[in-house]
Amino acid sequence: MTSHPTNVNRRRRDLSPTARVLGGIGVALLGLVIAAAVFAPRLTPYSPRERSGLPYLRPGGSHLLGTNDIGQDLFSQLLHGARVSLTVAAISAAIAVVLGLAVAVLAGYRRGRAESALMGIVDITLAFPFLVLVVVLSTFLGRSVAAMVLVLSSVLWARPARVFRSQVLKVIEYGHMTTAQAMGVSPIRIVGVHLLPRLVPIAVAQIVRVANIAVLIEAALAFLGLGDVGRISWGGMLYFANTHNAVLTDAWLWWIVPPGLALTVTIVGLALLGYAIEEWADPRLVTGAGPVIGRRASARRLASPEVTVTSDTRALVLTDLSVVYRSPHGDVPAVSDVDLDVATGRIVGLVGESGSGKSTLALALLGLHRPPARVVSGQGSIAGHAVALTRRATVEPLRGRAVGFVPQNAMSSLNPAYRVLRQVIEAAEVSGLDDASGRAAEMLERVQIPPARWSAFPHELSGGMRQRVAIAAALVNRPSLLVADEPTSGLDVTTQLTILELLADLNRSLGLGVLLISHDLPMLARVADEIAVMYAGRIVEHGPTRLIIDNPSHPYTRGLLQSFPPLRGPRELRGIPGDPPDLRALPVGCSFAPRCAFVHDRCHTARPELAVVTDNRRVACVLSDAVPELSR
Amino acid sequence: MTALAQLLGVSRGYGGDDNRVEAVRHVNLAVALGEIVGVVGLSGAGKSTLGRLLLGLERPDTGRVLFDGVDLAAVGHRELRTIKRQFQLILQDPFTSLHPSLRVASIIGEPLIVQHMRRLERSAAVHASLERVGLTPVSDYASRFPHELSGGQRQRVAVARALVARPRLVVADEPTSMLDASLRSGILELLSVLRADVGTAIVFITHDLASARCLCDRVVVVSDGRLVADSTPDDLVSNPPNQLVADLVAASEHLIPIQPSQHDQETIP
Repeated sequence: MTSHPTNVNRRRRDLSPTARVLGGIGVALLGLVIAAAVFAPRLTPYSPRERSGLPYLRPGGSHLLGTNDIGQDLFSQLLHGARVSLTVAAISAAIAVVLGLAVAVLAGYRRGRAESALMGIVDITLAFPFLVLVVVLSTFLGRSVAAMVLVLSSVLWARPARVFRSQVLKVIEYGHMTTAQAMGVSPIRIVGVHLLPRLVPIAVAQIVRVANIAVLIEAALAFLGLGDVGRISWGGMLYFANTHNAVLTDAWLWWIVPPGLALTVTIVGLALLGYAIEEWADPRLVTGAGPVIGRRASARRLASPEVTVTSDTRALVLTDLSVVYRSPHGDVPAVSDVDLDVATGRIVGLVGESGSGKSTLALALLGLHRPPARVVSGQGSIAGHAVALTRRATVEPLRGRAVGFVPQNAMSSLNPAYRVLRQVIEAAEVSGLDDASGRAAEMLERVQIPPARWSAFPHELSGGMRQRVAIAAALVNRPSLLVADEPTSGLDVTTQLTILELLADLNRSLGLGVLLISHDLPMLARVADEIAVMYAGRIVEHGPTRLIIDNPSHPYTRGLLQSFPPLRGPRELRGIPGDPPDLRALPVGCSFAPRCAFVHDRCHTARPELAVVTDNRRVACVLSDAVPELSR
Repeated sequence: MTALAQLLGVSRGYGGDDNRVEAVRHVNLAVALGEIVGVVGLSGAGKSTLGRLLLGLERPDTGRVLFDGVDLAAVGHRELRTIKRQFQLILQDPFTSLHPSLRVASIIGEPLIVQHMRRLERSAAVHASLERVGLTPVSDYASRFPHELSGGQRQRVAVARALVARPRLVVADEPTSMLDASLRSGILELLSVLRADVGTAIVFITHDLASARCLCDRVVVVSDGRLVADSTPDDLVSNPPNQLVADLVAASEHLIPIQPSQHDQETIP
């Protein structure tokens, strides 16, 4: 659930540089062709049908591209031909896409018999041999432009219908469709407001794609002599050049090459534009941000020169970690000045709301952060290996070996195509140690997955089982430290409990240090030895779990504890007032001051430092001694 | 109390003959106007199907679903839509349950368009409800798109939409389970505000017994499509009638340390 400050604009559609360049070239090429078509009468001195010169004139002089066998100006024909080709393509593409959209919406919305009938027609249309269908249809329908449009759109609508249909089925499952249906919104409004707008980007991409095919088919039909001979088009030019034996002389150079080039330019232009539009319509295409767990770790071994061994035996020592998100408006602090240790065999719970920086901390700790996140400072050691977090190379060799990671949504980041045993074996191979499959089997047993399920695919397992597989993959190389980011979110309470029990068990039996990250303080408190509370990128309180729970010092910790619906006692509901902090505009002084019930003048002037108060407890609050005891 | 919404011997299954799954089996449930009923159970217990049946989004295979004494399966499409104008649904996932290209004001105003309210009254009502759910300054939030809001704020928008519609039946399907735990109380509070302001019946679907206890007048526990308990929440917590409820109570015991099962102790090589 954690969202980074950069995610605020995640729907803004930025194209990748490649798409921008290619799209730009596409627009330029198409612009050229369209301008030629529009201004054809002004750019050409002769009418395309006029016998303006001698036959077979070579290019040059008053006839830029020469003349054909009856002395018509070929430059003029080329430009005027663009008009027919483009018009036919554009109109048939528009009709085909609108028709496809209508069929898809109707089929998707009226499930049942109408759906099977409509999709049956789509399948039959798609199954027909394409060119044969076109030829047969155009023979029947005649040769006018209207007939051409009719032929093209009646064969081209089916593919967009298929594409739209799958999108319709997806959108219908969206929550806003269901809530609208639940409140009795009329079908017209559901289609018009909830469904169609979400299909527009795809429709635009489809129009470009279909127009591309239409240009080609129109030319092909004209070339085959099935076009309107009285009308000049590119395909028509090619037809006449061919039938009048242009290829026997060198007239093909100026009679066949120019329309061929014009067609190529148009098609390439449309294809490039289509590429850019498709990326715009599907922002997922912009970056290949794959799941973390499936990535092969680098083959570097622990013995690589990047790793220095220290005498520190703690599972994790983290000093002075600061991470910022770079933005055009300056750096946004996501994690600031964090010191945190995890002793061997201890579970440290890191708690905070969405945007508090807890996941960013985990990613930076493992060198898995991505731009725009940047580690500004931070060093320490993982299982005795010194690391400088500003240099990923110092952490990389430890990942999957000295430190295991269960990322957020680990359950859904298992590779759906591989059986679970294979995924754990793959993780085991990272260490370079022998008997990867034996160790994988042992670890799967340890996380209590019955051997009968080892050959299952991830989708065949329950959420809890998948989480166990993710944990097994993280621990198969026997790391000293496990970092688990929200390992129980998305699971129901009973399954959450079993996962917590498993973690506590592994922690004991393997002597594993665990950094357990969650937004759920009461849940963390059930297994953690220590709790660190994060707010606006800083640790504001840290200490032994029992102390933090029984006697929270920081008003935020106190608010967190009170904000959970209690299972026993008075049925009170007390949320923390106000909104989570905006990291881009943190207040001067204490970040929590705007929401704090105990706010004091001093809170607005200086930011309280995290200082040890009593019982190994660190608190960052100017009132840390003055906050009244919490009576629970 | 007379029942507003009622399931009478309702069953509903999915899938073909060979892989049929019975999501709901012979359920009898009555919800009165102004009552908040918690439906608690594990993943896959049939809670959501139960909610969808109550709203007429699913038809029962057997049994009857009544609203105000009218059998939802027996009326025509048009009439069913008219009845549905008294319903509101609040969903779990705040990232998909709001239309991404509509502004907050339009999203909240949609049920009023359906109810044919005039534009001026509509914007006044939308304004008031935004204020009620604490999305202030209203003029700032009204013109935002859902992606410009946090998860908690989006759920507030969903509650505001329910407020403005003045429904008689609200189904809230896990409205807090995708939010930060610290935001649960806030949303639960808003749901009780919704009941207090509108007097609606609320069916609150959750896997968290503690949340249900703090909001609901009555809790039914669902397991494998069947109702296995129906009582006041405090009674369920203090006298779990069966093992399933006892497990739910144990899982919801906040703050109490778990005793890890003592497996064979192993030292790291």
